[in-house]
Amino acid sequence: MAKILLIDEKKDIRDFMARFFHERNFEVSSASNRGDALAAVKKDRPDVVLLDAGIRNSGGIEILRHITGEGKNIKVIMISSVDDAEIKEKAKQLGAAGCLTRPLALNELVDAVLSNIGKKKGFFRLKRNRGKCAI
Amino acid sequence: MRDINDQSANWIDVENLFFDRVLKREENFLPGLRPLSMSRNAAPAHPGRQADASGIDYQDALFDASKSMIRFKKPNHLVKMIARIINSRIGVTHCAVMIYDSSVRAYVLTGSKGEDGKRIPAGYIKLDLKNSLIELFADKRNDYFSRDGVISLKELKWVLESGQLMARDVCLHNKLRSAIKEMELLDADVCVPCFFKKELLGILILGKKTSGRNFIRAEINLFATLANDVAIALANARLIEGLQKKVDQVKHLCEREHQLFLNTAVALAKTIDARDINTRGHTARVTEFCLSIESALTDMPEAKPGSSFSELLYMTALLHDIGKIGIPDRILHKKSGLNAAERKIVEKHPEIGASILLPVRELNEVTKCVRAHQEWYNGNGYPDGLKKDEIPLAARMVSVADAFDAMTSNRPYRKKMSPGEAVKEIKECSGTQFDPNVVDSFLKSCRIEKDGERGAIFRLTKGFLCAK
Repeated sequence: MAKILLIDEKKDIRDFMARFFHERNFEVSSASNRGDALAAVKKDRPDVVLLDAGIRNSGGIEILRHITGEGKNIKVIMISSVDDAEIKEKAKQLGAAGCLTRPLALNELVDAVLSNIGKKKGFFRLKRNRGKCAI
Repeated sequence: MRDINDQSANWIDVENLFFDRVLKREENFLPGLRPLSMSRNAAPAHPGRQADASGIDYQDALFDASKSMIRFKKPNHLVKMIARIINSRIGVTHCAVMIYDSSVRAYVLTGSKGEDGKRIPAGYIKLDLKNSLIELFADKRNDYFSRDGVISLKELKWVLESGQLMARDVCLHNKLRSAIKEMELLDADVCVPCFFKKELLGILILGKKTSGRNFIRAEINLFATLANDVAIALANARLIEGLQKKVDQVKHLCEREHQLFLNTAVALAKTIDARDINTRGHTARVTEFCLSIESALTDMPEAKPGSSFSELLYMTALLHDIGKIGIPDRILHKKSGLNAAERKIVEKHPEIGASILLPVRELNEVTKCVRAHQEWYNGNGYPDGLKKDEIPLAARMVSVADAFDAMTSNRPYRKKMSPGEAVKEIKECSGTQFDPNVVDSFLKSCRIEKDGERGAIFRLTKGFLCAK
């Protein structure tokens, strides 16, 4: 089972994404600040991290720097609220696996996550639908 | 609360209408394929048809909604309210409203409600224009997979599994498949389009019912009506926004034009100053005196500072001597006193000024004041011999300011008076040449201070210092 870590200050966003990925066969953990995020990276060793770039105090870029310093095989997808070329460039330099801009198209988010854990799209199927529907 | 079954006759009527409509269209699209609503007798497994015993009065809900809708001017507020109504009245796991945002060229989630984890945070999610769900709403063949444009996950799956489309239209079949996937991503059971004149302005997204039952026709109709209201509210908001922009533009243009108008008057006033070397700065000083008098004027209802009277006064003060342009140089620049014939010519300047300004319709009032600025309060002035209230207030004010500045300025043929002497002179002429009220205000608006060797200094209480 693939592991995903969600880092966002907003509880409603964490809740929504946690439910979304949990229903899709992910082992989900989440964090709302840098300390929790780095602890979760150490403890859970996630395959993918969804990181909100706009997180306060030490911003998303700082957290990204720490995570990529931690290990090469953790794929970090940055999510920024503005289409900011500077943030994207910086994220790329620091080894982010991708950068998405809010509002997100869910299908793009799914594609970004799947391509980074090397799974085919079929992997990403709702638990409750498995075997029931041929789509 | 009325029982929902009371209204069942209505639903059948609506369905019959729909049935007729589809029947008529059938030959145009996909001949041979049975539209969804025609298969109601043939399809025992058809979803969405169970009666709902919840007893919700949908007309009541609708009435409530539309009543509150009138109060919303901002579509975002309306959207949030609609999400709340659906959530509280129907009881769904979550619901959301997505609205087209031209800046990102996508439908952006604007308002949402629901259980924690089910509710999609506002502003977090979008649907691109090329998203199959969006394309499905615009598809002309939607009679085959939706009822009244409303797309339900169960019905889509049902159509897909029946295999009817596979044989007829593979492209549409694939589109349905990816639309189902999109709905699953959004955890949506029902999607309702918000159309305004064939333009998809938004989408209502609904999760499952908390009761676990299927949506019934009455509920779907409620959603369709709410969605329609959203569309109208959005279209109105867009219209108002457009109008507001136009109004702002026009306002801006008007302001610019008005500024141009005022600046032109200043430019015109400067031409007089430039020509008459003896009275350089006169216009500026008279204007300053007038505005100072105005601020001290209390019992004149028309003279409220900041009103359009201020502008009239300002313009009159600026332009009162414009008629001097028509006075020959030999008289205007004469180094000695004027004889009777020359004086007569100089006394023409109020009339000449008025005739210069006459073609400017917007300066109608100013023109009258310019003509009357040499009138006397007792009727002994020129050109028309007006008296008291016949003389416009602005002209009476300019008259005092004009006389004071003339007396305290040097002429080639006489020395200037001191401010004290001039004020005394003004006081003496109060009631004959000048309006006593205006004179009082003038006296209130200035004071004379002793200043050693240089003699008296004349100061305006408000405005700039005028040392003599």
